[in-house]
Amino acid sequence: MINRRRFLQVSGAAVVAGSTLAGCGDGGTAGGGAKASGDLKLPTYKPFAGLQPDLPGAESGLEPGFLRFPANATASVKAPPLKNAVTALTETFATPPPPMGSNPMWQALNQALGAELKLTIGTDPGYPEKFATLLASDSLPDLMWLPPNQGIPNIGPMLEAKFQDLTKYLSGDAVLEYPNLAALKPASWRTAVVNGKIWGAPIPSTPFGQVMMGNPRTWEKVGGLQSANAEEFFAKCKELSNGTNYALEPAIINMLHMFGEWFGAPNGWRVNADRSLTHLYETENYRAAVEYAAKLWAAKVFYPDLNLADATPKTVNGQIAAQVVVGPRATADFRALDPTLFVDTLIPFGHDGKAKPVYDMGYGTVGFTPFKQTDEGRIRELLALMDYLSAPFGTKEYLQKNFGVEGQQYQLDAQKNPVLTKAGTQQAPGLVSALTIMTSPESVIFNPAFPDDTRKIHATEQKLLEFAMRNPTAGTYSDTSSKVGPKLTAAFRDTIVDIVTGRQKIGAYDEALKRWKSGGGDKMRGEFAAVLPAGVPVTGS
Amino acid sequence: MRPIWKESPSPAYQAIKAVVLGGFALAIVVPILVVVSTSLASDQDIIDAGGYVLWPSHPTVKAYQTLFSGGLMGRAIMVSVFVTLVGTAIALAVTIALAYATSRPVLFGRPVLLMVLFTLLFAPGIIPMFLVVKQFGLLDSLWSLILPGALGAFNFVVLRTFFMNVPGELLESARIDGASDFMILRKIIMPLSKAVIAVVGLFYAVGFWNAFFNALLYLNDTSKWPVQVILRTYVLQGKSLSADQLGVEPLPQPQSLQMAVVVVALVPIAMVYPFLQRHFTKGVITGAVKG
Repeated sequence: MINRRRFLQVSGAAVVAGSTLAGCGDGGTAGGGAKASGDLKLPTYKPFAGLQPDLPGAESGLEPGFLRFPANATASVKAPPLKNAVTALTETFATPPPPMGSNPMWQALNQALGAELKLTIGTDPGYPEKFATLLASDSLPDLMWLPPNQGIPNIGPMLEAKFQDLTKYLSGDAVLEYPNLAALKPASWRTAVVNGKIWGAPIPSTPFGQVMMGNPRTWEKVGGLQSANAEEFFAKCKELSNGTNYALEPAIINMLHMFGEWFGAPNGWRVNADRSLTHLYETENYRAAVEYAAKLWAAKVFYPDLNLADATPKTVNGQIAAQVVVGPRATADFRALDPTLFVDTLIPFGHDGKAKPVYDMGYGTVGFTPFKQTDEGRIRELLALMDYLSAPFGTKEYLQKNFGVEGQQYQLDAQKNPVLTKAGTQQAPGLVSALTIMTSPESVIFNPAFPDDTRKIHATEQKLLEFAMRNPTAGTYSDTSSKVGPKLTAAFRDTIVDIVTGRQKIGAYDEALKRWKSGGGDKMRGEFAAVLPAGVPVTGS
Repeated sequence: MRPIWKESPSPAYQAIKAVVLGGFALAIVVPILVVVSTSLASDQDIIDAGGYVLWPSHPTVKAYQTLFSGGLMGRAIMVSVFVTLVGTAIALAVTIALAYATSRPVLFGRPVLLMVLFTLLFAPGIIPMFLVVKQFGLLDSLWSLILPGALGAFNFVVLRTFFMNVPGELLESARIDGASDFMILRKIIMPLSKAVIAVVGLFYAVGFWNAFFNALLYLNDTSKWPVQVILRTYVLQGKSLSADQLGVEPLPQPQSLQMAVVVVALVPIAMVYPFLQRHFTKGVITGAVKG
């Protein structure tokens, strides 16, 4: 099997460069979209007051931490939201759930909602095809999850033609009628704005991006994973690589993402003083990172099989010392394999020990869920449903959606944390995944079995935030990017991997960059620059 | 002196042959062994081996128990078996009938029909297919997995070519004896073409068994999903490009569970091969040496 992880996005940047569609631009072709988006009044932000996290969150993106599940979950919704059945297209990132008819958890949710929630569950990959066929067939479900990164083209015109403009129900104080939607942050809402209109409730996910994690038992021999500069890291890697043991997983592009942060490469695009944009690939910083990666490869510190599907077991048993994961909360993946192991997260450092590193934040949401065009009564009913399903962590509705019914799908452990029962583990994962990809509250850190992990992750996040950089184009939209971006990125990366693994010389970098620019890179730059929000700061270098 | 091909081969040559062929055999057997072993491995085995396991030291069937506990897998196997059996039967019936009709020069309008059939070699787009399936009211029905694939242009061409090689005199004499077209097809053509029908049947069966994309598009009810869709969700889960970009952290399935799904998806169709292999070789070498 081809290792897909290897091709992961370099950064949140690439999410946009690749195929963003959610955004407040209008494709950069017709004027006015960016301005209209600027004029739009985002929904008023009113955090949920009913709960105090053990570790506070912050506007910067810091996620609140809960050491245990709040006792006596409070209700955040006054009445069941539905009177009529609702259909929805969503996607599961877990194994598909048992169908509604034989899934008591789903039935219990329907009961709580007041009517049936009929989900059409797509899988990954394959979702864009499912989306496109449903759209073409003109028999749209009431709700359709719209992912920001799967290459669905022409978002603006599509939304205008087939979906409901929700601006007047959500803009400004209007959102206060739906308190759980009002508890979503403005940064999240921005990703649900296209052509200056709000098209659905955003689906927040962790705002953090990729990090490198290492097994502390392995790194102990060389004084730990944290390093002061790139040379020190190189020396440690070399020392750890011998026989069948290697320092780094062979996910070249992901590793390059980390090195790029040490060399000060921007998150996707750099905003210059004159408000022009420079792409990551065009910077000397990224080029230096590529050369550094080639040096590491030549020193044989990468696990040699580029097709390795999943490095996690090898990191746990020490064969590989470090790998790149989706974000600082991924420590749980390693705990799942070895409950005694808490992996270390590398905090970016300046390549020479002096320069300020950057840490690339992620996209922050998984898109939004637009409604099929309908009348006001139905719109309000659907909004009430979204409000219910976006209930914050710790509420009754959150429990119902994620854990089901006490005594059936979950039980409380000694610390009063909900734990899925055997029935729960069968009924919940596929259903919960399908529900949370289309509706979600703001994210929290919660590791019920290991409360101390929550503390440590919270501390790590604060350190990462010191270097945080957001992609300046996040939440905007370039037509060229969604059409040819993924292809251009893939072609450029092929050359990069060749250079790192010694199959091509560094000179090939410039040719590949030329191809990237003429193939659409320059056009993307123009489109993104045209809709660059005024609030985005000039990138400090 | 005896000709060279009657000499018994030298031991050295024998040894080289054994090594080379043994190497090939290993290259085929080891991956299958790894799949089966990993499916039977305990969590500890997998961590110790860092992923795939060659031989589990603490074998367990836990993965299979988990797999079948939800009821999803059992149902999916039934669906796949139904689609494969019924689909293959229908596809063979349709293809044989059409191939026979177009192989006889007497059919009215044959050139036009052949032109139309020629277009079948080109796959239609996803959306036109979806619209047709929808208009026939086949959405969310298992027939949507069977009927659109019931006539494979390639298989049709293979069968038709074979039927055309049956001597016309045979059919003429049958007709003189009063046989109808149906009788000729059943009593003469089909017995003569057993090998090629078996091969085409196998192609169809494997195609139906392996198909997953139509199921993704046409079936909204997860209880009707065939094995391959389940297999895909288990194995690809957590490795998807989009999940990672989005910062979604799907719980990765244990490697043992993934491999157990592979075994479950592999075994039924692999069991068909031994029964058809006899015909398969015959079908493939048909025309190689006529004697």
